[in-house]
Amino acid sequence: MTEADILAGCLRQEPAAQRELYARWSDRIYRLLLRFTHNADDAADLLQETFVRVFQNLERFRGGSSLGTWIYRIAVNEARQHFRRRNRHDEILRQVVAPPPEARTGDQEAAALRMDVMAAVAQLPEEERALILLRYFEDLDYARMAEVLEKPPGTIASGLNRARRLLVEILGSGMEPAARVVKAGPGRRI
Amino acid sequence: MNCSMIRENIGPYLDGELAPEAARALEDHLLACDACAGELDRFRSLAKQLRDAAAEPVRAPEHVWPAIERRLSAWRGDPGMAKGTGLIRLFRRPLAAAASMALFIGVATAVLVWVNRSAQPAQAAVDYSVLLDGLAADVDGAVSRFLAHYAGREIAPQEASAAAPGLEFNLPLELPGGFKRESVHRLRFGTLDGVAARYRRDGEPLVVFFHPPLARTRMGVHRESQCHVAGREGQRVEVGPWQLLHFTDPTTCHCLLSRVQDEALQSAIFAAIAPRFR
Repeated sequence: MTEADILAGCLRQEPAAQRELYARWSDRIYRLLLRFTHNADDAADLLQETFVRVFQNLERFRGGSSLGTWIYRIAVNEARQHFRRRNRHDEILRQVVAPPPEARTGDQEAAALRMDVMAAVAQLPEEERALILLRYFEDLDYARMAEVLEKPPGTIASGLNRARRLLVEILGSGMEPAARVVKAGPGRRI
Repeated sequence: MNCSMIRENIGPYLDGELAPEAARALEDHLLACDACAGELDRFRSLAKQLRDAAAEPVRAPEHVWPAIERRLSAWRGDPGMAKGTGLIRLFRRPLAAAASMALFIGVATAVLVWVNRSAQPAQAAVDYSVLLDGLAADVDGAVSRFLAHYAGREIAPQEASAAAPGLEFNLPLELPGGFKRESVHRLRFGTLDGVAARYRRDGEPLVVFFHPPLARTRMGVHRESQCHVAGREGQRVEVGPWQLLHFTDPTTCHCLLSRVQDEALQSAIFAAIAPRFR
Protein backbone atom coordinates (compact mmCIF):
# COMPACT_ATOMS: atom_id res chain seq x y z
CA MET A 1 0.00 0.00 0.00
CA THR A 2 1.50 3.35 -1.00
CA GLU A 3 1.40 6.40 1.24
CA ALA A 4 -1.18 7.94 -1.12
CA ASP A 5 -3.37 4.81 -0.78
CA ILE A 6 -3.07 4.94 3.00
CA LEU A 7 -3.89 8.62 3.06
CA ALA A 8 -6.94 8.16 0.84
CA GLY A 9 -8.14 5.23 2.96
CA CYS A 10 -7.68 7.18 6.18
CA LEU A 11 -9.65 10.10 4.75
CA ARG A 12 -12.46 7.61 4.07
CA GLN A 13 -11.99 6.47 7.70
CA GLU A 14 -11.18 2.93 6.65
CA PRO A 15 -9.89 1.00 9.70
CA ALA A 16 -7.39 -1.02 7.60
CA ALA A 17 -5.75 2.15 6.28
CA GLN A 18 -5.69 3.70 9.74
CA ARG A 19 -4.09 0.55 11.13
CA GLU A 20 -1.46 0.61 8.38
CA LEU A 21 -0.60 4.25 8.97
CA TYR A 22 -0.27 3.57 12.69
CA ALA A 23 1.88 0.48 12.05
CA ARG A 24 4.27 2.49 9.88
CA TRP A 25 4.71 5.41 12.24
CA SER A 26 3.90 4.37 15.80
CA ASP A 27 7.33 3.02 16.76
CA ARG A 28 9.12 6.15 15.56
CA ILE A 29 6.67 8.51 17.21
CA TYR A 30 6.67 6.54 20.46
CA ARG A 31 10.48 6.54 20.46
CA LEU A 32 10.49 10.33 20.08
CA LEU A 33 7.87 10.80 22.81
CA LEU A 34 9.59 8.38 25.17
CA ARG A 35 12.86 10.26 24.83
CA PHE A 36 11.07 13.56 25.15
CA THR A 37 9.21 12.65 28.33
CA HIS A 38 11.45 9.94 29.85
CA ASN A 39 8.26 8.28 31.08
CA ALA A 40 6.75 5.23 29.35
CA ASP A 41 3.18 5.88 30.54
CA ASP A 42 3.26 9.51 29.47
CA ALA A 43 4.77 8.55 26.12
CA ALA A 44 2.03 5.93 25.55
CA ASP A 45 -0.70 8.46 26.42
CA LEU A 46 0.84 11.05 24.12
CA LEU A 47 1.16 8.46 21.35
CA GLN A 48 -2.56 7.78 21.69
CA GLU A 49 -3.38 11.51 21.62
CA THR A 50 -1.11 12.07 18.64
CA PHE A 51 -2.76 9.44 16.46
CA VAL A 52 -6.30 10.32 17.51
CA ARG A 53 -5.50 13.88 16.41
CA VAL A 54 -3.87 12.64 13.22
CA PHE A 55 -6.94 10.64 12.20
CA GLN A 56 -9.43 13.27 13.30
CA ASN A 57 -7.62 16.09 11.47
CA LEU A 58 -6.30 14.35 8.40
CA GLU A 59 -8.48 16.42 6.06
CA ARG A 60 -6.42 19.42 7.20
CA PHE A 61 -3.21 17.84 5.90
CA ARG A 62 -2.56 19.73 2.69
CA GLY A 63 0.52 17.90 1.47
CA GLY A 64 2.72 20.99 1.84
CA SER A 65 5.07 18.83 3.88
CA SER A 66 5.44 15.07 3.98
CA LEU A 67 2.91 13.09 5.99
CA GLY A 68 5.69 12.02 8.35
CA THR A 69 6.69 15.62 9.03
CA TRP A 70 3.06 16.44 9.79
CA ILE A 71 2.78 13.53 12.22
CA TYR A 72 6.04 14.54 13.92
CA ARG A 73 4.67 18.08 14.26
CA ILE A 74 1.52 16.85 15.97
CA ALA A 75 3.57 14.64 18.30
CA VAL A 76 5.93 17.46 19.24
CA ASN A 77 2.98 19.78 19.88
CA GLU A 78 1.37 17.13 22.07
CA ALA A 79 4.61 16.81 24.03
CA ARG A 80 4.88 20.59 24.39
CA GLN A 81 1.32 20.78 25.69
CA HIS A 82 2.11 17.95 28.06
CA PHE A 83 5.04 19.86 29.51
CA ARG A 84 3.02 23.04 29.77
CA ARG A 85 0.36 21.19 31.72
CA ARG A 86 2.78 19.23 33.77
CA ASN A 87 5.85 21.09 34.72
CA ARG A 88 7.85 17.95 35.04
CA HIS A 89 11.35 19.05 34.34
CA ASP A 90 12.39 18.52 37.95
CA GLU A 91 10.70 15.14 37.99
CA ILE A 92 12.62 14.09 34.91
CA LEU A 93 15.85 15.05 36.60
CA ARG A 94 14.91 12.79 39.49
CA GLN A 95 13.89 9.93 37.21
CA VAL A 96 17.02 9.87 35.12
CA VAL A 97 19.63 8.12 37.19
CA ALA A 98 23.16 8.48 35.97
CA PRO A 99 25.38 5.44 36.55
CA PRO A 100 27.82 5.60 39.47
CA PRO A 101 31.26 6.92 38.52
CA GLU A 102 33.00 3.60 39.10
CA ALA A 103 35.67 2.08 36.91
CA ARG A 104 34.01 0.63 33.79
CA THR A 105 35.26 -1.41 30.92
CA GLY A 106 34.07 -2.50 27.47
CA ASP A 107 30.30 -2.83 27.10
CA GLN A 108 29.75 -1.41 30.57
CA GLU A 109 31.53 1.75 29.52
CA ALA A 110 29.47 2.06 26.32
CA ALA A 111 26.18 1.48 28.17
CA ALA A 112 27.14 3.99 30.83
CA LEU A 113 28.04 6.54 28.18
CA ARG A 114 24.60 6.06 26.54
CA MET A 115 22.96 6.55 29.91
CA ASP A 116 25.04 9.66 30.52
CA VAL A 117 24.11 11.21 27.22
CA MET A 118 20.39 10.42 27.67
CA ALA A 119 20.51 11.87 31.17
CA ALA A 120 22.12 14.97 29.71
CA VAL A 121 19.49 15.23 26.96
CA ALA A 122 16.77 15.00 29.62
CA GLN A 123 18.26 18.01 31.37
CA LEU A 124 18.00 20.23 28.31
CA PRO A 125 15.24 22.83 28.15
CA GLU A 126 12.24 21.63 26.18
CA GLU A 127 13.01 23.32 22.84
CA GLU A 128 16.69 22.37 22.85
CA ARG A 129 15.69 18.78 23.69
CA ALA A 130 13.31 18.74 20.73
CA LEU A 131 16.09 19.94 18.42
CA ILE A 132 18.55 17.29 19.59
CA LEU A 133 15.98 14.48 19.39
CA LEU A 134 14.79 15.41 15.90
CA ARG A 135 18.34 15.83 14.56
CA TYR A 136 20.19 12.93 16.12
CA PHE A 137 17.48 10.44 17.04
CA GLU A 138 15.05 10.94 14.18
CA ASP A 139 17.72 11.99 11.66
CA LEU A 140 15.72 14.90 10.24
CA ASP A 141 17.52 17.56 8.21
CA TYR A 142 17.25 21.25 9.09
CA ALA A 143 14.46 21.92 6.59
CA ARG A 144 12.22 19.17 8.01
CA MET A 145 13.07 20.18 11.57
CA ALA A 146 11.92 23.71 10.75
CA GLU A 147 8.63 22.32 9.41
CA VAL A 148 8.08 20.09 12.43
CA LEU A 149 8.89 22.83 14.94
CA GLU A 150 7.17 25.53 12.85
CA LYS A 151 10.26 27.74 13.10
CA PRO A 152 12.13 29.75 10.46
CA PRO A 153 14.78 27.47 8.88
CA GLY A 154 17.53 29.94 9.79
CA THR A 155 16.92 29.46 13.50
CA ILE A 156 17.52 25.71 13.48
CA ALA A 157 21.31 25.92 13.13
CA SER A 158 21.72 28.46 15.93
CA GLY A 159 19.28 26.55 18.17
CA LEU A 160 21.16 23.32 17.60
CA ASN A 161 24.48 25.02 18.35
CA ARG A 162 23.05 26.25 21.62
CA ALA A 163 21.71 22.78 22.43
CA ARG A 164 25.02 21.10 21.60
CA ARG A 165 26.99 23.50 23.79
CA LEU A 166 24.61 22.94 26.66
CA LEU A 167 24.97 19.19 26.25
CA VAL A 168 28.74 19.43 26.20
CA GLU A 169 28.59 21.46 29.39
CA ILE A 170 26.17 19.02 31.08
CA LEU A 171 28.21 16.00 30.10
CA GLY A 172 31.16 17.87 31.56
CA SER A 173 33.16 15.08 33.13
CA GLY A 174 33.79 13.19 29.92
CA MET A 175 34.33 16.20 27.73
CA GLU A 176 35.85 19.62 28.26
CA PRO A 177 33.22 22.36 28.32
CA ALA A 178 33.15 24.55 25.27
CA ALA A 179 35.07 27.77 25.60
CA ARG A 180 31.94 29.90 25.29
CA VAL A 181 28.86 28.14 26.55
CA VAL A 182 25.53 29.73 25.71
CA LYS A 183 23.13 29.49 28.62
CA ALA A 184 19.49 28.85 27.76
CA GLY A 185 16.79 29.23 30.38
CA PRO A 186 13.77 26.88 30.53
CA GLY A 187 11.55 29.36 28.76
CA ARG A 188 13.91 30.18 25.95
CA ARG A 189 12.71 29.42 22.44
CA ILE A 190 14.61 28.83 19.24
CA MET B 1 36.12 34.68 8.96
CA ASN B 2 36.91 34.98 12.67
CA CYS B 3 36.63 32.16 15.25
CA SER B 4 33.16 33.24 16.39
CA MET B 5 31.72 32.96 12.89
CA ILE B 6 33.54 29.69 12.25
CA ARG B 7 32.14 28.13 15.42
CA GLU B 8 28.60 28.91 14.40
CA ASN B 9 29.25 26.88 11.26
CA ILE B 10 30.85 23.83 12.91
CA GLY B 11 27.52 22.18 13.78
CA PRO B 12 26.00 22.69 10.32
CA TYR B 13 29.30 21.46 8.81
CA LEU B 14 29.12 18.20 10.75
CA ASP B 15 25.42 17.88 9.86
CA GLY B 16 26.17 18.30 6.14
CA GLU B 17 24.12 21.48 6.06
CA LEU B 18 26.89 23.94 5.18
CA ALA B 19 27.27 25.31 1.65
CA PRO B 20 30.44 24.00 -0.11
CA GLU B 21 32.13 27.39 -0.16
CA ALA B 22 31.57 27.97 3.56
CA ALA B 23 32.70 24.40 4.26
CA ARG B 24 36.01 25.02 2.45
CA ALA B 25 36.57 28.24 4.40
CA LEU B 26 35.91 26.39 7.64
CA GLU B 27 38.32 23.59 6.75
CA ASP B 28 41.04 26.14 5.92
CA HIS B 29 40.46 27.87 9.26
CA LEU B 30 40.62 24.61 11.21
CA LEU B 31 44.08 23.83 9.82
CA ALA B 32 45.41 26.93 11.55
CA CYS B 33 43.22 27.17 14.70
CA ASP B 34 43.53 24.60 17.49
CA ALA B 35 40.69 26.14 19.53
CA CYS B 36 38.13 25.76 16.73
CA ALA B 37 39.50 22.30 15.88
CA GLY B 38 38.86 21.40 19.55
CA GLU B 39 35.25 22.57 19.20
CA LEU B 40 34.89 20.41 16.10
CA ASP B 41 36.20 17.38 18.03
CA ARG B 42 33.80 18.01 20.92
CA PHE B 43 30.79 18.29 18.63
CA ARG B 44 31.87 15.22 16.64
CA SER B 45 32.26 13.18 19.83
CA LEU B 46 28.87 14.40 21.06
CA ALA B 47 27.21 13.44 17.76
CA LYS B 48 28.68 9.93 18.03
CA GLN B 49 27.39 9.51 21.60
CA LEU B 50 23.94 10.70 20.57
CA ARG B 51 23.79 8.41 17.54
CA ASP B 52 24.94 5.44 19.64
CA ALA B 53 22.15 6.15 22.13
CA ALA B 54 19.66 6.51 19.28
CA ALA B 55 20.49 3.03 17.99
CA GLU B 56 18.61 1.28 20.80
CA PRO B 57 15.34 -0.13 19.40
CA VAL B 58 12.03 1.06 20.87
CA ARG B 59 8.60 -0.38 20.11
CA ALA B 60 5.23 1.24 20.78
CA PRO B 61 3.24 -0.54 23.53
CA GLU B 62 0.57 -2.90 22.22
CA HIS B 63 -2.27 -1.47 24.32
CA VAL B 64 -2.22 1.90 22.54
CA TRP B 65 -3.76 0.92 19.20
CA PRO B 66 -6.93 -0.69 20.67
CA ALA B 67 -7.47 2.48 22.73
CA ILE B 68 -7.13 4.60 19.58
CA GLU B 69 -9.58 2.35 17.73
CA ARG B 70 -12.15 2.71 20.51
CA ARG B 71 -11.85 6.49 20.50
CA LEU B 72 -12.10 6.69 16.73
CA SER B 73 -15.14 4.45 16.82
CA ALA B 74 -16.81 6.69 19.41
CA TRP B 75 -15.83 9.78 17.42
CA ARG B 76 -17.34 8.36 14.22
CA GLY B 77 -20.48 7.53 16.16
CA ASP B 78 -20.26 3.80 15.41
CA PRO B 79 -23.02 1.90 17.20
CA GLY B 80 -20.28 -0.24 18.80
CA MET B 81 -17.45 -2.17 17.23
CA ALA B 82 -17.84 -5.12 19.53
CA LYS B 83 -21.59 -5.16 19.55
CA GLY B 84 -22.72 -5.67 16.02
CA THR B 85 -21.00 -6.99 12.98
CA GLY B 86 -19.53 -10.26 14.22
CA LEU B 87 -22.78 -11.48 15.76
CA ILE B 88 -24.87 -10.44 12.75
CA ARG B 89 -22.57 -12.40 10.44
CA LEU B 90 -22.72 -15.40 12.77
CA PHE B 91 -26.51 -15.54 12.91
CA ARG B 92 -26.64 -15.87 9.14
CA ARG B 93 -25.28 -19.39 9.76
CA PRO B 94 -27.65 -21.13 12.23
CA LEU B 95 -25.53 -24.20 13.05
CA ALA B 96 -22.49 -22.15 13.74
CA ALA B 97 -24.66 -19.81 15.76
CA ALA B 98 -25.99 -22.65 17.93
CA ALA B 99 -22.52 -24.05 18.57
CA SER B 100 -21.13 -20.62 19.28
CA MET B 101 -24.00 -19.76 21.60
CA ALA B 102 -23.37 -22.93 23.65
CA LEU B 103 -19.69 -22.05 23.84
CA PHE B 104 -20.54 -18.46 24.72
CA ILE B 105 -22.88 -19.51 27.55
CA GLY B 106 -20.21 -21.82 28.98
CA VAL B 107 -17.51 -19.17 28.85
CA ALA B 108 -19.85 -16.48 30.16
CA THR B 109 -20.82 -18.67 33.13
CA ALA B 110 -17.17 -19.30 33.94
CA VAL B 111 -16.39 -15.59 33.66
CA LEU B 112 -19.31 -14.66 35.91
CA VAL B 113 -18.18 -17.14 38.55
CA TRP B 114 -14.67 -15.76 38.33
CA VAL B 115 -15.86 -12.16 38.49
CA ASN B 116 -17.95 -12.87 41.58
CA ARG B 117 -14.92 -14.38 43.30
CA SER B 118 -12.59 -11.57 42.28
CA ALA B 119 -11.32 -9.17 44.85
CA GLN B 120 -12.35 -5.50 44.72
CA PRO B 121 -11.63 -2.99 43.39
CA ALA B 122 -12.71 -4.16 39.97
CA GLN B 123 -9.96 -4.43 37.36
CA ALA B 124 -11.56 -2.11 34.82
CA ALA B 125 -10.59 1.33 33.67
CA VAL B 126 -12.28 4.59 32.85
CA ASP B 127 -10.57 6.70 30.21
CA TYR B 128 -11.46 10.24 31.26
CA SER B 129 -9.37 11.70 28.45
CA VAL B 130 -12.38 10.92 26.22
CA LEU B 131 -14.28 13.46 28.31
CA LEU B 132 -11.50 15.92 29.03
CA ASP B 133 -10.10 16.34 25.49
CA GLY B 134 -11.87 19.23 23.86
CA LEU B 135 -13.86 19.94 26.99
CA ALA B 136 -13.06 23.64 27.10
CA ALA B 137 -14.20 24.12 23.50
CA ASP B 138 -17.46 22.15 23.65
CA VAL B 139 -18.54 20.70 26.96
CA ASP B 140 -21.81 19.24 25.70
CA GLY B 141 -19.99 17.57 22.81
CA ALA B 142 -17.35 16.17 25.17
CA VAL B 143 -20.00 14.77 27.52
CA SER B 144 -21.91 13.20 24.61
CA ARG B 145 -18.68 11.63 23.37
CA PHE B 146 -17.95 10.21 26.82
CA LEU B 147 -21.47 8.82 27.17
CA ALA B 148 -21.27 7.23 23.71
CA HIS B 149 -17.82 5.78 24.50
CA TYR B 150 -19.28 3.96 27.50
CA ALA B 151 -22.44 2.76 25.75
CA GLY B 152 -24.56 5.45 27.39
CA ARG B 153 -28.32 4.91 27.08
CA GLU B 154 -30.86 7.35 28.42
CA ILE B 155 -33.09 5.83 31.06
CA ALA B 156 -35.91 7.05 33.26
CA PRO B 157 -34.62 8.57 36.53
CA GLN B 158 -36.50 5.96 38.57
CA GLU B 159 -34.55 3.20 36.73
CA ALA B 160 -31.17 4.58 37.83
CA SER B 161 -30.77 2.53 41.02
CA ALA B 162 -31.67 -0.71 39.25
CA ALA B 163 -29.30 0.13 36.38
CA ALA B 164 -26.31 0.12 38.74
CA PRO B 165 -27.39 -1.95 41.76
CA GLY B 166 -24.05 -1.94 43.59
CA LEU B 167 -23.67 1.83 43.62
CA GLU B 168 -24.82 4.33 46.25
CA PHE B 169 -25.92 7.68 44.83
CA ASN B 170 -28.80 10.13 44.64
CA LEU B 171 -30.08 12.05 41.63
CA PRO B 172 -32.35 14.79 42.97
CA LEU B 173 -34.48 16.77 40.57
CA GLU B 174 -32.55 19.89 41.50
CA LEU B 175 -29.04 20.25 42.92
CA PRO B 176 -27.84 23.02 45.23
CA GLY B 177 -27.04 26.08 43.15
CA GLY B 178 -30.21 25.70 41.07
CA PHE B 179 -28.98 23.02 38.62
CA LYS B 180 -32.01 21.19 37.23
CA ARG B 181 -31.86 17.57 36.10
CA GLU B 182 -32.20 17.10 32.32
CA SER B 183 -31.46 13.44 31.66
CA VAL B 184 -30.19 10.24 33.27
CA HIS B 185 -28.04 7.64 31.46
CA ARG B 186 -26.97 4.09 32.12
CA LEU B 187 -23.26 3.47 31.35
CA ARG B 188 -21.20 0.32 30.85
CA PHE B 189 -17.52 0.27 31.87
CA GLY B 190 -16.54 -3.10 30.49
CA THR B 191 -18.51 -5.53 32.64
CA LEU B 192 -19.41 -2.89 35.21
CA ASP B 193 -22.43 -0.61 35.42
CA GLY B 194 -22.43 3.12 35.92
CA VAL B 195 -24.85 6.01 35.82
CA ALA B 196 -24.58 9.59 34.60
CA ALA B 197 -26.92 12.55 34.81
CA ARG B 198 -26.91 15.89 33.05
CA TYR B 199 -28.01 18.99 34.94
CA ARG B 200 -28.23 22.60 33.74
CA ARG B 201 -28.62 26.09 35.24
CA ASP B 202 -29.41 28.93 32.83
CA GLY B 203 -27.63 27.11 30.02
CA GLU B 204 -24.62 26.17 32.19
CA PRO B 205 -24.14 22.37 32.19
CA LEU B 206 -23.19 20.24 35.19
CA VAL B 207 -22.73 16.50 34.90
CA VAL B 208 -22.41 13.78 37.54
CA PHE B 209 -21.07 10.26 36.95
CA PHE B 210 -21.09 7.25 39.21
CA HIS B 211 -19.07 4.09 38.76
CA PRO B 212 -17.57 1.38 40.96
CA PRO B 213 -14.18 2.19 42.49
CA LEU B 214 -11.90 1.15 39.67
CA ALA B 215 -8.33 0.02 39.74
CA ARG B 216 -7.32 2.40 36.99
CA THR B 217 -8.45 5.70 35.62
CA ARG B 218 -6.72 7.23 32.64
CA MET B 219 -6.43 10.98 32.23
CA GLY B 220 -4.47 11.16 28.98
CA VAL B 221 -2.52 14.39 28.93
CA HIS B 222 -4.53 15.86 31.77
CA ARG B 223 -3.16 16.12 35.27
CA GLU B 224 -5.01 14.83 38.28
CA SER B 225 -4.18 16.22 41.68
CA GLN B 226 -5.39 15.57 45.19
CA CYS B 227 -7.85 18.03 46.63
CA HIS B 228 -10.10 18.47 49.64
CA VAL B 229 -13.77 19.29 49.56
CA ALA B 230 -15.21 20.04 52.98
CA GLY B 231 -12.25 18.26 54.52
CA ARG B 232 -12.77 15.10 52.50
CA GLU B 233 -10.04 13.86 50.23
CA GLY B 234 -10.72 13.67 46.51
CA GLN B 235 -9.10 14.16 43.13
CA ARG B 236 -9.37 17.09 40.80
CA VAL B 237 -8.63 17.63 37.09
CA GLU B 238 -8.90 21.12 35.64
CA VAL B 239 -9.50 21.88 31.97
CA GLY B 240 -9.88 25.61 31.41
CA PRO B 241 -12.73 26.77 33.66
CA TRP B 242 -13.99 23.18 34.09
CA GLN B 243 -13.26 20.95 37.03
CA LEU B 244 -13.74 17.21 37.26
CA LEU B 245 -13.88 16.28 40.94
CA HIS B 246 -13.91 12.71 42.27
CA PHE B 247 -15.02 11.60 45.67
CA THR B 248 -14.75 7.85 46.21
CA ASP B 249 -16.28 5.82 49.02
CA PRO B 250 -16.08 2.02 49.43
CA THR B 251 -18.90 1.35 46.95
CA THR B 252 -18.97 4.24 44.51
CA CYS B 253 -16.81 6.79 42.77
CA HIS B 254 -18.83 10.03 42.54
CA CYS B 255 -17.63 12.38 39.81
CA LEU B 256 -18.76 15.97 39.37
CA LEU B 257 -18.00 17.93 36.20
CA SER B 258 -18.87 21.59 36.51
CA ARG B 259 -17.66 25.17 36.42
CA VAL B 260 -18.49 25.57 40.09
CA GLN B 261 -15.44 26.99 41.89
CA ASP B 262 -17.03 27.67 45.26
CA GLU B 263 -15.97 24.90 47.65
CA ALA B 264 -19.09 25.29 49.81
CA LEU B 265 -21.33 24.74 46.78
CA GLN B 266 -19.19 21.82 45.60
CA SER B 267 -19.54 20.31 49.04
CA ALA B 268 -23.32 20.83 49.04
CA ILE B 269 -23.60 19.16 45.62
CA PHE B 270 -21.55 16.15 46.76
CA ALA B 271 -23.71 15.90 49.87
CA ALA B 272 -26.76 15.82 47.60
CA ILE B 273 -25.47 13.07 45.28
CA ALA B 274 -23.27 10.96 47.60
CA PRO B 275 -25.07 9.51 50.65
CA ARG B 276 -21.81 8.84 52.53
CA PHE B 277 -20.45 12.34 51.96
CA ARG B 278 -22.76 13.90 54.50
